[in-house]
Amino acid sequence: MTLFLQLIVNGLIAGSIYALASLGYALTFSVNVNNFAHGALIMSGGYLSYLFIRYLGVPIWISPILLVPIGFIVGLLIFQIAIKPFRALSSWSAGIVTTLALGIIIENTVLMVHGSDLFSIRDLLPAPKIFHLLAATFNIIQITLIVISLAIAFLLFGLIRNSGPGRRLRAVADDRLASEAMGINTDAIVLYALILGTTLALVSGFLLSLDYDQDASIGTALLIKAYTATVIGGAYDLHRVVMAAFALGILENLIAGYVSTQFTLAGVFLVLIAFLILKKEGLGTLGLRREV
Amino acid sequence: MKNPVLFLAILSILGNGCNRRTPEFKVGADLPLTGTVAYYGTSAMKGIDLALDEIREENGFKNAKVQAIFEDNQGEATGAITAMNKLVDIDDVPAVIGGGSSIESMAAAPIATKSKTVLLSPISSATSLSGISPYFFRTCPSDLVQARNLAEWILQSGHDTVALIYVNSTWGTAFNGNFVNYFSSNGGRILKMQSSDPGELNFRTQLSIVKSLKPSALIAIVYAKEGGVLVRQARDLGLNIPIYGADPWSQKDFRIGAGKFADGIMYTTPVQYDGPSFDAFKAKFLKKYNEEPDVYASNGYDCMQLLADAYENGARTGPQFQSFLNHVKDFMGTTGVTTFDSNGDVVGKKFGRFLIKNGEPIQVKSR
Repeated sequence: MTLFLQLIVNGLIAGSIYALASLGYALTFSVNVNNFAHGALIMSGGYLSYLFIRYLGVPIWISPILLVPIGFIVGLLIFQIAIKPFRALSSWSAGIVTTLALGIIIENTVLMVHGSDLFSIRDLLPAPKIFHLLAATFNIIQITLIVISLAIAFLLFGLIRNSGPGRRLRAVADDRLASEAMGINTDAIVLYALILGTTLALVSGFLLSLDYDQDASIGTALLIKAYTATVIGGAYDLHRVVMAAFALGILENLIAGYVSTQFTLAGVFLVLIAFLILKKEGLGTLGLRREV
Repeated sequence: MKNPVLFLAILSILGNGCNRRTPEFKVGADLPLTGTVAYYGTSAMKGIDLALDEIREENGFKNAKVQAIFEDNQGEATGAITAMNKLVDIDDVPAVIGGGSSIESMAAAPIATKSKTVLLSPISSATSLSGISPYFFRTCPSDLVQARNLAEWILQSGHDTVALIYVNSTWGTAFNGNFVNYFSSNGGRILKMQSSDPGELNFRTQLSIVKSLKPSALIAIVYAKEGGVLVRQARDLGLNIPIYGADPWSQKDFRIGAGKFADGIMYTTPVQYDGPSFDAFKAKFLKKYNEEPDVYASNGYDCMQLLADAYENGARTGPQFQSFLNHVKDFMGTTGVTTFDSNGDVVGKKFGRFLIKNGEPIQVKSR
């Protein structure tokens, strides 16, 4: 029972990280852009915050605000360089290779500048307060992470549901051709999704480096988790993507705890494959009808 | 002449034929200079470079062109293969220093066998490398000795029920196997063995499981950076039992990752040879790099000096270098005396036990 509780808590902490990573990825995924640089963008968000705080003396809570305009510019650049020129191919896979390359470039740039050493904001913070609930141990930052990730998720839900661009984004996600026929500028919507996604990636990089140790190569693992949660959640319904992300975190921990740590990733992929076979559209088809 | 390129090519060949070529002593290095175990390669490279400086001054090499060609394998099997193939096929070297982590040597050894090129590792210590190729040698002792030393130490300290976390790599699994064999056949009990992937920086799940089992000590056979993170996460979770590690933890990457939690951590690592040859080396190293040499640097230096010795004794081809290493006896280097057994393993080098106190490792006398 002791172990079970701790595993669930660990799962929730991991889940909040995966949720943060998945949201931005799923958003661009829903408008047919497979942004494989997403993992590297998350990593660079953590790295930039580290640079701001460590070398420029920026107060910790200001650094995510600085990341927003950077996310805007980087999102715009990614669209212009890696997405727009290949949109004409109109294939689902347009942009996979270009964003993959971009991710490798970002990762190697950090490797060149910083090397493979750790960069962690948590070293620069005072030691966080530790809680014991029944038998589970966790700290204040981890709780904050869970709360903030849910808050960001709900903010995004509202934005997609109620704002003008959000409504158009759902229309494009539903049927691109029909939306174009109705006079929606799909390029503008893709750009909107990409800017939002990139900003989210950078900010989540900051958030997760509050608790996690990072180096230049953490992006790939996060991308895999984000992709898995997006596919299981069905991409078109962000609620379910977030739920899938938390489920993934908990599942991983339970497999590691009760089966074997060697089986963790394999177990996650088995779940992914099962979903792809049994329910090709993921959990999200139901949600799509309800949402639009 | 219709074709100017062809003309130039012929000219250059003729020109070459007329000149007496300067003798060339060229070796390769297949090491991780970037990536998660970059500290292996960069340390060894410093040792090799220092050795090269000295070799160039020696009489036998006055007129020779001496060089080492460094290839970065990023600590990966595929990288080690690409680097080895390049060194063998394009640079045509008779001997290669490498690899760093054991997986690199494992991957490069078959190419060494096929191309009859010596592969001399300053670092790879996995037991499974013993006798892997007639062309493979190493100046660092095999982990069989280290794993036993570590197990003995833990048992002597009164910890007979332990938990184990090891990295899923050639080095980690082999080390783990040796440790478990020795530990459990000498009265120790292992409550749980868990693996982690190389480069993984999250150990919370494994540590939660360890905590729930209440062992009296934790053994973590993981690399330096990962080890530091592991130690910190263990203390964060309130897991306050003694933690033991292995030689990568002698690196400063470990102490950086663990921060203030490094104090009290224990590990085994090859001891620096305590003699005049090491002192001289240390002084020169300090002068050139303004830092203390670690054990990978002194092994890199010894590897280079061994190959230079072979060259001075007339070795020019791979098999000649191999034969020299097979017969070398009590080569006096900065890591002590080197003699290879029939498996290419070095004989008689020792491991020491270390404890980190106030951020600095101090050697613990074995009982």
